[in-house]
Amino acid sequence: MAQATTSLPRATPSTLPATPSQSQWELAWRRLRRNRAALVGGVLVVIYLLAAIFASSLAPHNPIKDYGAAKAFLPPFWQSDSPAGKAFDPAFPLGTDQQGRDVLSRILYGTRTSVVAGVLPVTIVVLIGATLGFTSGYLGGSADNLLMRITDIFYAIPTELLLILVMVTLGDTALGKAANGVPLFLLALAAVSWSGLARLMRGSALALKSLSFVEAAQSLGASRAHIITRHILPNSVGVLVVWIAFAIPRFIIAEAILGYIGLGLRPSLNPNDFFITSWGRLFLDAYSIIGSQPGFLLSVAAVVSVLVISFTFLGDGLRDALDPRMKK
Amino acid sequence: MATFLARRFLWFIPVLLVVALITFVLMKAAPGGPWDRDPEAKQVDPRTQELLARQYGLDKPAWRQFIGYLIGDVDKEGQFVCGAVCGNLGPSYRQRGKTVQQILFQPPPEKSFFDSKFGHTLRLAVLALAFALVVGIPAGVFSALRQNSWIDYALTLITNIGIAVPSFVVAFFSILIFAVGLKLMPVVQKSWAGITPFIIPAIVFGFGTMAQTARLMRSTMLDVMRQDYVRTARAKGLLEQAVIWKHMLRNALIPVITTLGPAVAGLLTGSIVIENIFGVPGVGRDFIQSIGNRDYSMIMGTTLFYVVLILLGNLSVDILYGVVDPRIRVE
Repeated sequence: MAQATTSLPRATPSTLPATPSQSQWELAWRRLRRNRAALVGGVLVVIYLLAAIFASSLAPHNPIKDYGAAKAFLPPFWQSDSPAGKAFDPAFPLGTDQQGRDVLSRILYGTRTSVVAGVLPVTIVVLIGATLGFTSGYLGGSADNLLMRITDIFYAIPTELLLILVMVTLGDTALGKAANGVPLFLLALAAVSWSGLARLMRGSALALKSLSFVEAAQSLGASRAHIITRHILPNSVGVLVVWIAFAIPRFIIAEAILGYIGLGLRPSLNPNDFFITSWGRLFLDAYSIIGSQPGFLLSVAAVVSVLVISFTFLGDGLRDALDPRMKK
Repeated sequence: MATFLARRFLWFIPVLLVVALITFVLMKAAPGGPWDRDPEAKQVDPRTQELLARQYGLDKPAWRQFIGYLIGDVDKEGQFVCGAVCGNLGPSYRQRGKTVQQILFQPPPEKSFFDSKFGHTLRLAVLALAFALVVGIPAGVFSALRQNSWIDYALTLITNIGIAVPSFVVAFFSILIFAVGLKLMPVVQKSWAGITPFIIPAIVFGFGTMAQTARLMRSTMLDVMRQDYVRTARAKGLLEQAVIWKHMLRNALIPVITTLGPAVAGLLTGSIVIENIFGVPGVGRDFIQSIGNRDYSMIMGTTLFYVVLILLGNLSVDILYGVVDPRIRVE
């Protein structure tokens, strides 16, 4: 064996270009770092995360304390006076609402709720959707057929509609009232979005299954569980990460829409509670006083847009970095 | 083609059945009946509730209500009344004396169909689609023809933002700009006659579709521009205009056309939130109101109607595929 190879020109370390070997993730990270839009998006996402975590220390005021009529309808910093005729007060940078509550503090606390509303359901959906998708894609057969028919049905139901239906019908049950409505919200979001991810993961498993390294593992006698966890899963992580980057803003918007309709999380009136307000509630509150305090709605809409755009840039960058073939 | 259509229409049955079942189970799981009021308000007395329940057939067992709703049931006089399969979506629980289909499709007296609830939704969706295509397609083509120019970058930035920011948020910005800032329209429109009041809601609603169309158009144009038949057309000495219009555009439009089906379905059923923000008196706003009123037959009827729209939208894509591109034929 050794003799046979000596006569052949071999690629020795000295003839290879002097680059250290790089893992798939190192390569992806390098590609991502070169993408300026994605980097800016990523940094902004981190800033929002920090704002959500430290909302209670960052907020200049108690978000539910009303400072009374004298401090109501104060304008935000870019307006010298509000339609209500009040002058700007530096203690309230983004102004106040009709009860004299600080808008900045309310938005910070809302960020906390909305970030949780975006991140928590993703975990659940990934667990359900990825597991079902992988197993059915890899195993095939009747289980796969059944899953595909079920996802076909869910494909035909508008997600908004189903979400609203679940929230409204179960909103007054014990489940809907528990923990500010968070469990029900998680359940509803999981119910409407697992099928899309399952479909995606199934496709990924199907594509990978026919590749030669999986075949090699099969012929070496690897078990199904081994192949799924060691070969299929790691190679689908890229697709999954991109899906998550796009799913989080979708879920945040879903919360905002439900909150605006008045079906979302139930804000607590206890300042020590975690959920005091959410972006959805803030949209509802701000829209109701648009005539006398348009700056409030503008602040909320801007804060939400920046996060959603950041996630999109980050998601686009991740897609290009993790799978250059998908690049548009 | 006939067997394909027959198979697809047969597939509608299980889908609608499952959707109806999910909706029915959810509504039965909801605490409180359609006759309950706010806990603070005076309640409907139990005797009346019983009478109402009997009148609407709510005293029957759940399975019979479900089948009765979908297929039909025998009424008090022993006559068979056909259910949802005949387009009878049942009597509304809250708007007495009206059926759900009347509420959705019947215009006010002496008005045209376009003034019905669905007519308003339709007007919004058609205008939004028109905006998406009339702006999106030229923007995409222009972007591709001037690839990597500043105008391409500007258009790409706008489409990226249009895809990222949902119409829910764009709607609030547009109200701030057009109603509060420029005072071009009232925050809440008073009359929804004609086209004018729909323009801004439709632009907002169609913005995402416009961005997606522009992005798709740009990428397929870039793809088509590098095809051999385009090079051949140029080599023949055809005018650049002819190459663009006859050779590139026609082929680049195929993917865009096939996205129309889901786009139309999405625009028809996705207006729940937009209608609520702008106060458009359409199906979506009614849906939210009937939810607040616990008008279960309205909720069920609207849901089924929406699902039928989506199924038809998806089906139309598959048919369109074969029509616009003979290379793809349904089996």
